[in-house]
Amino acid sequence: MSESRRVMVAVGLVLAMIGLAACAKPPQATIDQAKAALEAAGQAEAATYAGAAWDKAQQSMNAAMAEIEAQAQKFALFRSYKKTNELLATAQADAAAAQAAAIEGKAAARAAVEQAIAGLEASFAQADAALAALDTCRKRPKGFKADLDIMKGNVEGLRGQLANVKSTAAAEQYLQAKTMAEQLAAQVATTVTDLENARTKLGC
Amino acid sequence: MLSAVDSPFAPAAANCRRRFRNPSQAVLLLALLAVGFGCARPGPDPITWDGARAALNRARAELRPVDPQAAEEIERLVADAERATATERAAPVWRREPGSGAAAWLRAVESARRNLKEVRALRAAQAQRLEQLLERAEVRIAAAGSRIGLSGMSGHDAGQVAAGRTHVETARRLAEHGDYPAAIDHAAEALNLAAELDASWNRNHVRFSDPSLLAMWRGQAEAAIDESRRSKSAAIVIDKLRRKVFLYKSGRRVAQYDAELGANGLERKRYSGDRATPEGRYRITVKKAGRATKYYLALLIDYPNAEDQRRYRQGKANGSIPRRAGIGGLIEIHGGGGSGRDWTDGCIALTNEDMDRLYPQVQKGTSVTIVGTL
Repeated sequence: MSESRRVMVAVGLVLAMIGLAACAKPPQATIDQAKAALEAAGQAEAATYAGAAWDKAQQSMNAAMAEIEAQAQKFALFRSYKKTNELLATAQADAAAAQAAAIEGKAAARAAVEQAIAGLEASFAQADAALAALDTCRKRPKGFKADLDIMKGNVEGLRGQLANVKSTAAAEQYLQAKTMAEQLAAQVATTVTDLENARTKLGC
Repeated sequence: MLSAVDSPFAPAAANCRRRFRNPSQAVLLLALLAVGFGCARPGPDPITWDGARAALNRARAELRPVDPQAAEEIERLVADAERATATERAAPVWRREPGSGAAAWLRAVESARRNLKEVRALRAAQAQRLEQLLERAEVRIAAAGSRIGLSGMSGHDAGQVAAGRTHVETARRLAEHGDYPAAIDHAAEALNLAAELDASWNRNHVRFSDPSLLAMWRGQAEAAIDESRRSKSAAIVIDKLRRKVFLYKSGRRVAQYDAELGANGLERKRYSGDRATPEGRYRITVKKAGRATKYYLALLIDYPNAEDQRRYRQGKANGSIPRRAGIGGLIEIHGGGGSGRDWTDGCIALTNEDMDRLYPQVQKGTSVTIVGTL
């Protein structure tokens, strides 16, 4: 090989390397996908319903973005986005997992509230039945009517709270609605027990 | 085409050829230099930021339920810090900015510290406010609850008390979960209900501080006592607000008994079924005992008197009394009391023991004066 030919080959090799390096750009499409996945998890309220998974997804995304930054600092010839792609894939998977966990957590909270509301409605039906039985009871000791009015008022007052639970659940504040429902259930249960005891005592 | 030999750069080219016997050596040297720069080792990272990461994660978790925006700010600053650390480590020597990673972490930590301080102060203030609200609400609802069963407290009021208690308990549970704003809403609602209950109670009691009514009631009582003194007979005076039955003999008070009223007994009776207790001057018309009464012993009075009938007609005329409602009757002082609440349909109930004491001391025609209060 002549001298000038060897020079040409060497120059060609260097140019090819530079060309290849210039092509090594951050995987923008993958970055966008990972960011979109994280945003979707955020919109699914992962922070509220899947805190741990949300944190993990954010940390994964941070690691991926840090790696992109690290590569950007390197001389163009030596940038490699292989690890970045792996980290972005992990971040995307973690974000998807956070989204799924959030959807699941929210659905579970919603189901718990709906179950609590159904339980409360059953308890109110029980209270209504006991009140109806007491209302038609033939045995009426002194003060019975006054007591019955108070018991009816009591049940109505608690029923008003059920409406509050439902409106809170309708506003998708499931965690608060659940707490309210649990508290109300305890009070309704006491009232139902009192009514049933009165019914039993009077033989209605 | 100009050859290398003919060109003005020929001497320099010749010199270059002398230094590098093979020109490809120069190209390779350039490539090696480039490799040298490209492979520059990442900068040292003497500080491990794991502690800061963990602390910031904890801060974020604490901030999130109380101040989501602050939590998001921490998330953003942590991401910045991670990038800055990576940049610092990976940048070539001539572009490296020592300390930029540390500065970014410090910014995040400082922001977290400031936000946590604010949030903790806010939570402490919220907890304090909640406790104050709950304390007031609990006292007032307990007071209203203790009035359930007394005249003027309706089934609706009982429902308000139940709702108030639910709000108080819900507020406590929400506070346990750290949701102070929602807890405060519930405590405030409980306090609103307590205020409504108090207002309802006060509406029922406002007439008992009316000077003209007080003067009238005192006048009626004094007239009855005076008559008892003059005729040397017994007289009964009933104070509805105090729920007391006073027995006078020859103008002197000789006994007093606790009484229970109608379920709306603090109101003045106007018609049948209003469960109010009448007010005015009456007389005993019948003394009942044994099977004549289901309340042990009873003293029937002559309700409605002329004044009651006048008010009834007036109420009918102006529509304040339901069209089909009668004026009512059968108002008695009877036994069966002792429950400590107002429960009758308008009668005055004493314990059977007190009826045993009162019954023999009065007779048909004995004056019974029922007043709001004295």
